[in-house]
Amino acid sequence: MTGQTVDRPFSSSPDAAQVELGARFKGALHHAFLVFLLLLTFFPFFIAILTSFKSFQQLLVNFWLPAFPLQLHNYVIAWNEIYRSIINSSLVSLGAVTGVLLCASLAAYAFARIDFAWRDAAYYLVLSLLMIPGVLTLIGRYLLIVQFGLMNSLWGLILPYIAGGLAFAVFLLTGFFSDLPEELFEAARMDGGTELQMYRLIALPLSRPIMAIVGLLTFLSTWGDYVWPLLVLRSPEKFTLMLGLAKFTGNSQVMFGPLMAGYVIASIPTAIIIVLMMRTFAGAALVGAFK
Amino acid sequence: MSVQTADAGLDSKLWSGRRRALRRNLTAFLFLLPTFLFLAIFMYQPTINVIYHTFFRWDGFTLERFVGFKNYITMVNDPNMHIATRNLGWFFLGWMLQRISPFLVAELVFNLKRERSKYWYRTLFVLPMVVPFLVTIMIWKFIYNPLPTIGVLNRMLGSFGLEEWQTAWLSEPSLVILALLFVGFPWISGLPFMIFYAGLQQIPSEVLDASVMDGCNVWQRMVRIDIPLVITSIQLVAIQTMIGIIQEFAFVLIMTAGGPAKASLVPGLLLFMAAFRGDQMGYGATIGVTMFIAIFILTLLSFRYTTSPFARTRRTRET
Repeated sequence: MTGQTVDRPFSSSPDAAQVELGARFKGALHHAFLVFLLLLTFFPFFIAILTSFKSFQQLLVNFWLPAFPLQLHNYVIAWNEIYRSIINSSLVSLGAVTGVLLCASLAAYAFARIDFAWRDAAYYLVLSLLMIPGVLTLIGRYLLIVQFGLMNSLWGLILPYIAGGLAFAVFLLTGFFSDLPEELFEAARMDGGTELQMYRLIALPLSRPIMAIVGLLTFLSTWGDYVWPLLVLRSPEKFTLMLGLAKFTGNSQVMFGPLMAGYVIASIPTAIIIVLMMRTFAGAALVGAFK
Repeated sequence: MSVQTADAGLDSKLWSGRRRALRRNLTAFLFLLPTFLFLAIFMYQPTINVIYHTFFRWDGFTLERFVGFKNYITMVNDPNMHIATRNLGWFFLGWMLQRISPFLVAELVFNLKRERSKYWYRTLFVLPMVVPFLVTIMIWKFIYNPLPTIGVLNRMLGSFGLEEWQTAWLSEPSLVILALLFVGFPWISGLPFMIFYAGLQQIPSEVLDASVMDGCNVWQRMVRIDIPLVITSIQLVAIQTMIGIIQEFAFVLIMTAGGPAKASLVPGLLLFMAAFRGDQMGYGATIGVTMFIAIFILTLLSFRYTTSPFARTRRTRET
């Protein structure tokens, strides 16, 4: 790493002190610039949190600083407005994550560890889907959902989400499964283990970090999607969180406090999940997946 | 697995070998079945259906009349499409720069001396990723609010005494694209930053030490060592960004719905409007297929004129 300092050839020269001072100044500037960037990065979120505790009057009078008393009531209003859509979004994301993990891990196991006819062809058939833009299948999927009678149903979200997440999940998991040591499987085969047993007892337990990554990516993309629910869902009690927020935004022309409170609430589930993942085992693997 | 029988004649061995292969194929088939069912229904079928229907006048349901290449000709001559493509050009330029620029910040953090400060900057810069993208852009809509007392930007200008600069940022045709591009400033938080930083961490420390020994300054090191070594990550980000930008419209739909007038219209939004707000499924499909072709060509080109992003992983796997 660059962390260690290497003695510069001129460090013993007479004006070493001056050089040292220059380096210090440079270091301070370096930090100052990064802190400035951090402040800019956090500024919108800071303003949103600040506003979420204010009434409209307080906002007009005191825009930049916290205003007292804090309007905790804003959070109650926001919660009543969106809690239902949070439940809907949770159901959809849970269904999609489960489906993707189950199907993709089975398929990836077959691609990585079973030597079957036309394996490469089948694999490329899946990978080729990574090239197809989502916007192209949008129309076709919409018609399918209409024909299957899944309009205005959460299944109309879950099933296409599973299909949409599979290609990339199979790609990541196949790479991981084929790097597992063959000896493990050889030993199990000697003991008369079936492929399903090996999948369940060897491959799955060893691949928890990568499964967590795939789960996280699926969760984030389904949780944050706006366009597909907009097409499929009609009645407000079925709305997902993003639709609910959009509706809330449209309804509350001057209620900026409750609105920002809603934004804060909407960020909490993703924050919890990401922090949990980072703290357990996924952090290192997340970096590894993109190297 | 089948247990080998006691009488191991050549014939039965061959037979059991074949049976085992058959069994393996059957097992693999069952493992793959759920995935391919999903893909067949929700990926392959819609794709083929949509490509096929670009040659039809089609409302998605009852009306279906073969028109040959008429949809494509309409698209090429559609003035809305011209506007949308020109706007997309600006978005493309701006968003590409935005997605690559975190590399400089990754370098700045990576060049810090202490591991601890590196860790903290890295964590803090990616922290805003916990906020869903849609929430971020809605907060930016609040920042751009046209009211001089409410809009964060307008209020800021007001407190600096620049009242004459206050404006409705998203309703000004000459400003709207710039305002949209500015969303997310300073554009650091996100996957590109993480990917770039991970790439920098992959550089062998001997290489970096050697560069210090040779008296390489930071700028030289970045240009001569870091960029060539993490070019695969940069390409990965560039290709993914390209694919994302070409089909982007949810962002524009939420911020401005393509307005004012058509000043921020993009092809994806045109597709959305034609297919789901105007009963012109066939025409929407045509725009979708054209985007697909554009993405396909761009991806191929970027593979051809740069080193393959997979070359390095392949090499490491072989050794």
